[in-house]
Amino acid sequence: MINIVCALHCEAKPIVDFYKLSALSNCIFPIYSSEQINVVVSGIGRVDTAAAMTYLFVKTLEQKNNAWLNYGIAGHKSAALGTWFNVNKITEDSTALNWYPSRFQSGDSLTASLKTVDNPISQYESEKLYDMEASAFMATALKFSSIELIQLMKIVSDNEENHLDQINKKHVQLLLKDNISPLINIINVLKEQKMEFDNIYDVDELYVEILKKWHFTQYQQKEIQRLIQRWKLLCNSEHIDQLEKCQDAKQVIAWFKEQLTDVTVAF
Amino acid sequence: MISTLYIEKEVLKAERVLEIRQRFEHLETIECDFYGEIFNRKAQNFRLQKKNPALILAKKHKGFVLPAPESYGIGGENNYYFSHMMNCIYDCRYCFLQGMYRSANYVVFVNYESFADEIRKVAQQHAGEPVYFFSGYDCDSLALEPVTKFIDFIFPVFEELPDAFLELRTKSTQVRGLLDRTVLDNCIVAFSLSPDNIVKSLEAKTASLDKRIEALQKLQNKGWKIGLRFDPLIYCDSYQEDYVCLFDKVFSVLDAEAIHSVSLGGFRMPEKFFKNMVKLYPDEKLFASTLEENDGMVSYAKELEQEMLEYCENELLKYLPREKYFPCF
Repeated sequence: MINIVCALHCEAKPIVDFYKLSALSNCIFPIYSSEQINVVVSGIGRVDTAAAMTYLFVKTLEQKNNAWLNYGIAGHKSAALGTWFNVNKITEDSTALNWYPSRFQSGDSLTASLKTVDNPISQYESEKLYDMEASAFMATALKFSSIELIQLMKIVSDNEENHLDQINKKHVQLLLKDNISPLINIINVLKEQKMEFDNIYDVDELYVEILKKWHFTQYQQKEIQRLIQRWKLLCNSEHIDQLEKCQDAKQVIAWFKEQLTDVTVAF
Repeated sequence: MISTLYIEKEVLKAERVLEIRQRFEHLETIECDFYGEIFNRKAQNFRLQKKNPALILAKKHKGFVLPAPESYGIGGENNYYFSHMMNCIYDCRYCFLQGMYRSANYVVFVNYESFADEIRKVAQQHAGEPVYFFSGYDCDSLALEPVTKFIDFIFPVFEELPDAFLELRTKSTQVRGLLDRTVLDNCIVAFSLSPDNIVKSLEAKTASLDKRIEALQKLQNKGWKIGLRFDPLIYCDSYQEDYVCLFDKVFSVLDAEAIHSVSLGGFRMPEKFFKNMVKLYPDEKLFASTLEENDGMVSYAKELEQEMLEYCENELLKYLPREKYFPCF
């Protein structure tokens, strides 16, 4: 699953349309969803961003290690309107804290550092991007996922020659719609990363089946999970039908331990 | 190989940094306040990062030279280690670094002069006695040498300190730099060696066993003191044949009399690191095999470990005078 966070409806709309996402009803923060993608509209600023992300996390059954993407408009001193940047460093203006999103083979995507400010600004320092959400997005996403699954993309909506007060919802929606392909590219990169992560760490089907069949304490759950992993690696998944005879969790654990006794190891 | 360059603000203009930057002109370069902002942050996955690691250039502020862990030695009383680099370009599955560090990125501390000052100071404290400095503890001593040029810097320091011995520990066959220079008498170039099947299964991205032996032979022929490190010993059903075959291969090429030192050690790992490694690699056969926890260390069951060490020791001593042999257990 990829969780996408936008501050504004007009930012979310092009992606909602592109992926034909459906709106969930009765949500405190608007959520649009499909089998693979959730988009939450947070509102402007750090507090709303953190709140919306936490809301989405809880709403999606607290699934850890999903991919997270924040995209939206940002200011820049000189870059042309409609230029996309993949963010490589975030500095929170009020605390001077830094975050460094994971790098990847981004092809032709431009990269830039970003400063998250509490109020809109019109004086742009150096070649940085400016927004009002990224630091909160990053800090919150890191509570729910691994840094390799988190990315930020910003599109330039205002610069020294085109001030923030000239922007309106229609303009933002059009800006994104006309320049949507870098965003789709990064979503695809995140999908691949997530798939790679799941291939390694996805919960084993046999483990799920066993938990359904017998009752395990929390401690036993950890124990049986590792025993199954070891058994699959060392015992070639043999004699599993014998498990049927087990009466309870203790016997299941004992069976796996027995299988692993004096097992041979070859490299 | 290296995806991104992070540079601490404080060393941004350092000459050594500018040289390294030149080599990586094509890479995305990001300024950071402190390397720990990237390297030590929680919620990182070492395994995924290992596919696309970054290079972080930083300044070290303390702990330049530290006492070596007990049993980490080659006969000397005074043993120290230093790490101008953290992490390794290789991907050996048994390596403790993947359990110790949160990040797979490479950190190079560019203030080499501070390491040199501390090495001189420690050598002075032991004036008149041999003192050993191990450089391949938190990294491979040679693997990133074309980038770091640390050896070029540190050799002249050891030239001034005849009682101080430097051990380079490596799996890298990039020895051209060593072969092209005058032999440094108080330097031991030690190679970590494992049976062929272990190299292929557990030492990803490293040079083959044959290439390592070839590099050792070239160094020995040139007059360098060489060391052999059979550490960690890895158990598998065929371990006896595998290690016999390995020793035979090694000693049929190298002159055993001229070897400086040989050490042997079992697979052992602090429990905390081991747990991290299992989480990262739940699908790794090495960690699935029968290992035991004793006093906070994970290793093979005592009996098996003893059997392996004794067996390999006996086999080794068929080729080697005992005074060159240093067990690490």
